[in-house]
Amino acid sequence: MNNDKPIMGWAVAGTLFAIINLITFIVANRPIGASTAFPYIGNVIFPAIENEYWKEIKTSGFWEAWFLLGGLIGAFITSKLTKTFRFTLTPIYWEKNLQMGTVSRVVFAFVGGFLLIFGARMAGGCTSGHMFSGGMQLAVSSLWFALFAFIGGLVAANLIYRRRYRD
Amino acid sequence: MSTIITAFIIGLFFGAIMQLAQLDRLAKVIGAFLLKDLTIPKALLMAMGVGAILIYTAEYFGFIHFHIKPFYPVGIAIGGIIFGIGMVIVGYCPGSMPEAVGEGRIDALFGIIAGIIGGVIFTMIFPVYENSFLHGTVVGKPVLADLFGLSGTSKWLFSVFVGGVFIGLAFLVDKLEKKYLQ
Repeated sequence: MNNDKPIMGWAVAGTLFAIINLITFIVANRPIGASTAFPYIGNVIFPAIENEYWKEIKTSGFWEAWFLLGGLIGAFITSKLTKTFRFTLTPIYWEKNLQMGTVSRVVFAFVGGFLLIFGARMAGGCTSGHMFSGGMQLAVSSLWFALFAFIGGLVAANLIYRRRYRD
Repeated sequence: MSTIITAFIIGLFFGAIMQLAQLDRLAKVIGAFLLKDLTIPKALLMAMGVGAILIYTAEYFGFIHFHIKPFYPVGIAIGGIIFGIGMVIVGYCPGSMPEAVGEGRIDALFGIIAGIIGGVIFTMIFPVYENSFLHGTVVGKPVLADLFGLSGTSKWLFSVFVGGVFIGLAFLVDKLEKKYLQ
């Protein structure tokens, strides 16, 4: 596993991300972001909770929901074009390198997905909005976020996966 | 309508880049935090570096406005730690789960559903959270240059320099990774 090299290298990908973020600033007068889409979609499905948070997120959340739909389709197109599309419930890495099964994958995805969005909303952004977009603007809030996200991730990865990991 | 089209098209490119560079893979997220595969940190540093140079230059010449998120140290630190733990458990980021689903990785769909539930629960407790000690006080919206009291041309040049440092760091991490991890 992991011997399949990415079609696009990290340096090119990083540069292109910077360029499309600049384009987003120019054409949409906002930065790229993703995590607000989740409470937005949730509030569309359960319209009962119309508190002040809804007013705060509805413009961003609407944009980010369509942005992420574009992301899904974009990845679908390139994965089909490059023949890397694969229907899987459990990534090979999860089974081979981390020695875990399908049930744990589903449970982990669920628990992790909840914490991921909950934490992002507490902090006001995620990898996209804070680390990429905020990081590019050298925002103190975003660099602070990146620092603590890395601490949390390093500790969690070492506690949960380190002893299971096989090369 | 034009908002939808712009957001969707930008998303298409974002998703394509992420998929082609494999940044939407669980192996890359968990690999990064186990310090086995530093593709994501390198791409992140590169994007921040090139982005800082582009954004600060565009702002200096009046093409764009900044969009800085407020700095509330306590809430961002706690949220950041929870986010980091969540990212390691789910194996994806909020912005990479849709791409993972797009290339057929169905486990990310469970992450999306749980994320939507997390978003709803956060919405319900937001009024309490916002005024609690867990959120804490907001200390403005500073950028790095503000901490040194820079403005105008010196702010621009300083920020372009920091961008260059980030790019240098990305290639340094790449060198170290090749030397020690492969």
